[in-house]
Amino acid sequence: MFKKFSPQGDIVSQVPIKSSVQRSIRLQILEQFPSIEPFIEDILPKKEKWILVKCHGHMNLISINYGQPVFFNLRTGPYFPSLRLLHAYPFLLPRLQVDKGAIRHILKGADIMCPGLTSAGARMDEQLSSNRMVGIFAEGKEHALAIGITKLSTSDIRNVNKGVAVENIHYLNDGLWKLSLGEQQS
Amino acid sequence: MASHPFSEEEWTTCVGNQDQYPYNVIYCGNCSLPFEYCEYNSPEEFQRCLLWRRENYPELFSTYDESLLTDALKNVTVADSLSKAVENNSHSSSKKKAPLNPEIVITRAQRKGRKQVTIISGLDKAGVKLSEFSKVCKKQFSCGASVVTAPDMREVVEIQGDHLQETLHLLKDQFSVPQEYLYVMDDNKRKVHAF
Repeated sequence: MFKKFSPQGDIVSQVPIKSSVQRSIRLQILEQFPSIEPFIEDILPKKEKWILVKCHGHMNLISINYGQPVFFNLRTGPYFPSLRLLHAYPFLLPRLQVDKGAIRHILKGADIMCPGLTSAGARMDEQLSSNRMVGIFAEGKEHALAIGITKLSTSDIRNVNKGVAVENIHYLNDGLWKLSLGEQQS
Repeated sequence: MASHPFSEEEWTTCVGNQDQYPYNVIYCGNCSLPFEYCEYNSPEEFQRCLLWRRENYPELFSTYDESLLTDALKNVTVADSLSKAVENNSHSSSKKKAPLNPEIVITRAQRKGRKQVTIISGLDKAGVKLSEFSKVCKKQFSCGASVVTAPDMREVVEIQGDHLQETLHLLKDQFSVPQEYLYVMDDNKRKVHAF
């Protein structure tokens, strides 16, 4: 989704978010990620200035004080955490682990294929339905390398074992990862 | 490398000891990725990552990492490699300024009824300033011309009216663009050489 993202071309506007809107966003995020509650004040501090960055394709990014975006969503869809946030709070999303061979391709933006999740180095410990937001972790690595949406349920991934299992939404070193809003501001 | 935040049992539940969050991840100052993903950069980039790590986090720089460094770089410091990189860049940038085959593509498009516009794309790559070119066009053809952003986010010059042949000659004669750079979109929407 952020493969061809460029700050010059894709950012439409950056506006401060009203505090009433902030409250509703915060509620929505808490509802989506109940486990985040003890840390919500660190991630989305009430006192700071929230910036809504609107991008092409109805993409919205939420940034605190023009810092790295913390959450993003499509239209009015669910909020995705950014990878940096997921690194700091790895329990946010259910984890899927891919084998070593898949890492290279995922870092180039490829979707995650079924065999990468069923081979020896991979792990799928949780039962997940399709259309769930997941964090993609890798064999022998500590940190997440991508965030995606499951296209099949975990049992289907095992049974079918062919084709796209998880759609790659946001991965290390994509446009969103590299984005820095500080430059835009000046 | 710091220990994994999860024990084996916690892997599935993903809720470890609450006190350790936010988990502080150290990112490489060279490529901005967590250290463990540095190796997926290009080999040259990875070498620079290793050097950066040795300089800034010597405690995380293992003997295994040392073995990955090429011999030539073993005794080099980051500063040295940076200056080298700058040298290399200056070389490559001079090459980049004149890419091998800049393509200037001239297209005719319909606007509102039978009105036509001429669109010239790829000028910036051939080293022609868009704003200057549009100004010259306005004078020569006495028509409207402007620099616009095409849907694919590239800057193009749009001239009102059909001036396809004139622009070709203008580019060739006044802007001294080599003939082989010039392309015209034909009726089948295929790119063909202009001359």
